Amino acid sequence: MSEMSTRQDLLKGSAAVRKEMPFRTYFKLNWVLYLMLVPGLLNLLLFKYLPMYGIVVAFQNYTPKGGFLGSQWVGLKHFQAFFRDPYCGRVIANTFILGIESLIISFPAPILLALLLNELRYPRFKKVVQTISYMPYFLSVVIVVGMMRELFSMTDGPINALREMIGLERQNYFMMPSAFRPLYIGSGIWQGIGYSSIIYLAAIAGINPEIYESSVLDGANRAQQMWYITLPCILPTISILFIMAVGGLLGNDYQKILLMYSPRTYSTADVVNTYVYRYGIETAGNNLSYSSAVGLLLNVVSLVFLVVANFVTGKLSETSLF
Amino acid sequence: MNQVRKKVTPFDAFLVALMVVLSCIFIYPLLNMLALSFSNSQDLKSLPVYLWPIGFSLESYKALLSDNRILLYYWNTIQYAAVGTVIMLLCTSLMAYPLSIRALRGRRTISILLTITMFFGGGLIPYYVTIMRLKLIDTFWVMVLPGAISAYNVIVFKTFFMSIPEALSESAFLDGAGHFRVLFQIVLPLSKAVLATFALFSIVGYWNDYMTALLYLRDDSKYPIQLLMRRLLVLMDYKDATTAQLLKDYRQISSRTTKAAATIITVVPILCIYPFMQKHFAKGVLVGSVKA
Amino acid sequence: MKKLCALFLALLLTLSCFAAFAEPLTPYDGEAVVYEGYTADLGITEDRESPVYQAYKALTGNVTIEWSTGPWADFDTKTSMFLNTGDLPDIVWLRNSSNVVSNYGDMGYFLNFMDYLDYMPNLKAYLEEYPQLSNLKAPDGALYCINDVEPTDYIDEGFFVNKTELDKLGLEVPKTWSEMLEAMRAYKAANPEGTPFITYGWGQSYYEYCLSSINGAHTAFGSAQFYYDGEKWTHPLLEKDSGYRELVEMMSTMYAEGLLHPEYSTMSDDQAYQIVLDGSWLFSFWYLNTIWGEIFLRDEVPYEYEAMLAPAYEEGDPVYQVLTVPYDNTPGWGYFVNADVKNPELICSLLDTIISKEASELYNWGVKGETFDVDENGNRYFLEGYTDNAARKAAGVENFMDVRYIQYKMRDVTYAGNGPVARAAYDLIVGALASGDAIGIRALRAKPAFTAEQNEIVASNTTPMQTYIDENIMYFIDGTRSMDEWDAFVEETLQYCDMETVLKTYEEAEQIEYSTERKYVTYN
Repeated sequence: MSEMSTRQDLLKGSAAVRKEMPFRTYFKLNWVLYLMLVPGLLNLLLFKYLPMYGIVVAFQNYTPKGGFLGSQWVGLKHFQAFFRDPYCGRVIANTFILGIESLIISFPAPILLALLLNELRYPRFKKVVQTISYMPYFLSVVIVVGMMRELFSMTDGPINALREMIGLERQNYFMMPSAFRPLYIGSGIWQGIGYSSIIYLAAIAGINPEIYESSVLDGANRAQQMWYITLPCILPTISILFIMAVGGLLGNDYQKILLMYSPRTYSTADVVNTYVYRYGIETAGNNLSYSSAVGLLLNVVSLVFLVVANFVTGKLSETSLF
Repeated sequence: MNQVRKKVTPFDAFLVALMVVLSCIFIYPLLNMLALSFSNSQDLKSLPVYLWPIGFSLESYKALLSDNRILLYYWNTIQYAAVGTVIMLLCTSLMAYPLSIRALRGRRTISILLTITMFFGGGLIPYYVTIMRLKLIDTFWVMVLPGAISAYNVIVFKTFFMSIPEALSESAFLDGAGHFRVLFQIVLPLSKAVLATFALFSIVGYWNDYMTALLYLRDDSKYPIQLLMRRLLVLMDYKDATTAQLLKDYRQISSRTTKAAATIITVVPILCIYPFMQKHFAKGVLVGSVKA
Repeated sequence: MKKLCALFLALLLTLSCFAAFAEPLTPYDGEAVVYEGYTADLGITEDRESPVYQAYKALTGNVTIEWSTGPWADFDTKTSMFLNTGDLPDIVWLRNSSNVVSNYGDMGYFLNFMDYLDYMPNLKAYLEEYPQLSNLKAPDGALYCINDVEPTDYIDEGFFVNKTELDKLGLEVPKTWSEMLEAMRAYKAANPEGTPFITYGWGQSYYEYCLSSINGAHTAFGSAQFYYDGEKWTHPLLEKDSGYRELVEMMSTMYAEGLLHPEYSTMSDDQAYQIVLDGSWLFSFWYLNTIWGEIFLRDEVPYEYEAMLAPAYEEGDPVYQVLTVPYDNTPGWGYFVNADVKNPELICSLLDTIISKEASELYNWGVKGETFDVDENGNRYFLEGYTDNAARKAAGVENFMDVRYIQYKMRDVTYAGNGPVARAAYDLIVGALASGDAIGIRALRAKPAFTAEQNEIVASNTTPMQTYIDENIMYFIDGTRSMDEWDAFVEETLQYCDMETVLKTYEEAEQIEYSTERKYVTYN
């Protein structure tokens, strides 16, 4: 019994107990927990950390002959080359703007959808709508962009036909830099909103219905229930996903941009990854070092964003990654 | 569960109307694909298709499914998805549970180690070399083992586990249960919604994945279905003369109908899975689990 | 005496050993040998029971290559993985042979065919007859790839005119640019919904490519790129008479007057094809026998169309024609063999068979007496029942793997397999080239084989410059910038690129020269 109470004390986090005990003893009492970590840590080690030596390629002039260990070391040369590129500023700005606008618009959207779906009073209808809502997720990006082109086509697209009917001029959307971001973000929401809302629905499902019942007794209406119960209960989920989303800010779906953009829309559509892609074509594919360097740069910045977001969110909602 | 009020408010009506409109927007392209896939390419030419096929024909499906190994590919995919998802759920839960215990020493370090893997990777070539050295090339396991742990999944699981009231696990400890029992008999049953969600994400991920198979498999008999579908979905989009010359043999059947059929073949099985997952999203999972 | 006999015997034995090495091993009658290969998916539906494949089997014997394929779009990803990790299959088909040889040639991955020339008499003969194949050799003389042999120039593209619409307007086929412009304007006035000029949906650079044959502008390979003008390397924007400004002006005029489709640079192939099939076009540019040309054979086209020569820019100017595959083009695609392959003599013999004229004839024409025959002039023709593409495919013609990717090219089959309009087009265009009425345009030198360092210098300059050019050309064409600003534009562009360094790099790199001799073949 005493052993058990010590364990409980340990697990409850009694600070005094924790700090005093040497790790060896701590380990012996809690070895089960560390055992559970083994499969995960093994996977991390083998498949994530072992290949990490490849990062050095960003600091080398990689040639297949030299490989990762033998290629010439050049330090920050590729990073400098990137910053010296005349388009560096524009592509970085485009990447940022696209990422931030995406975040602002497409982060709340699935939450909203989940909340609304939750309010539906007809369970069978709700199921049907839920299933339909995530169908677009499975369409390949090639098809989605193809559909967009047909929809917004200047000569035979329904949108332009509508514009003409109400007296507006026809627009060539895929040649307009100002149309790129709305099209990109809009189609992204259409494709992802249903799928992303699943996780919020799962979170909402986990809320204890007794809380709702007692609130009804206190006279709360539906709007108040949503504001004072549902939202706060899924706030941890929202926070974690928000932090992750900020961490992923700089990673746009460059395959999609490649399909959507054209030289006419470079001014808004050309982002870091598409630019590096074209750089790769100019070198006939032998630019591993350069593209790795740029990728590493983006990743480092993303990590910084994540840490900041984690800190801020931690202060605001008491949930954080670590 | 309990329908106390049946009065339909204007808000309800508005909501239903909104959902109907949204559903139409979401489902229209797939219905369009469905119609296209059953169209006859000769009659179709370049006419627009809305909701109804033009000239009914099964030629696209025949062309796609004519590969006599297609059942094998389907079976492969099902195996990868099933085994991979089970492994993923197991490993992720096993890792997230200890991390959800605030008192665990080294928790912060491990979380940081995890987060680093989200941002930094060695690239494709070192990864391939590692797989090669581990003798996993062209095996069943290369499809299911590496993807077992994703930092994102572990972190989300951890968050969910942490939201389970400690009172529950405490009462289990008092009864003499060890961590394994607490995990499998208390925490996991209460996390059905999370498990179901990530199981779905995982199955969809395995279903859609062609890159792993493309790079690490050699033997055709191990190919998943998506590899076959991708061959048909993307090659029609050649954008240069040399590729067009090479691919002229593929232009026999209209690319529009083939692409549509390939999409339908990919999408339909997944859509059938979601209804099974949905029942785990039901409310009230926590009711009655706290002893008086 | 005994010593002399022994010496003589030894000599005889040694000589007989040499004699034994000199023979290719195919048709192979030993125990079955299977090689593993990787190639791109081109839609071949090989049928090993077909008569053609059986005949091919008779040539090769008991050795086969089992090919693995993957999606076309990911071919480069997969093959670059092979090259960067050294984990190659027995034989692999790669896209950019020169690039592969210069970057990976000295890694020791590949078999050197020069060591096995005794087993490859055909290759030996080709190396002598077609010196351009030596461009593929590594600096130390090793030959790591087997590529196509192009014995003649191959012309497969040209301008087409919608005769029905042209007749409606009461006009003749234009011989100069101004006539063509006039015709397009007349068409547009009579058909506001029509598209006077349309081609594939491959973007701005392809339109530049087609239209460059009107004024011979130096963009024969799409968009402004460095070229060799006979004396030095230069760039279209640096030369006043490169014709590039004229080309942009032509397109800008066309766009302003609605003679180009408003979405021409972003439309999809399907959209373009719809316009062509509907007949709502006046002039177009496409491949004679493949892609649309082939589909036209299948569909009923409700109007008349025929090929035309490119109009000259002005009265008295030469008529130009782009060459699809010049005969000494440094071939891109090639078979590479793993250096550690089992039984290298056998696979070399097999490759030699693949590239032989017999195998090519089997692949392209089929079995003599069954699918094709030869007439009194020595020209081949398809027999009754095999004039249809589908019937030929079923018999195995142009439908088995090994030879599909690398072969001795027999272009007469393309001509024979075409429909009447395509054949008439070929006669018109190649006839003009052969008689000197039209001039075939192509580069004098290929892009040099850059080393990794040179590549970096060039790419870090040309990527921003090309971005600037591509973007601003679009502004010129849709009128956002007026053509008066052209000189300013050229100056601005030069800011993005250190021309001196880049040109110097081009001069210093390993040059690949093309012959100015042409080998046109007509079939009448």
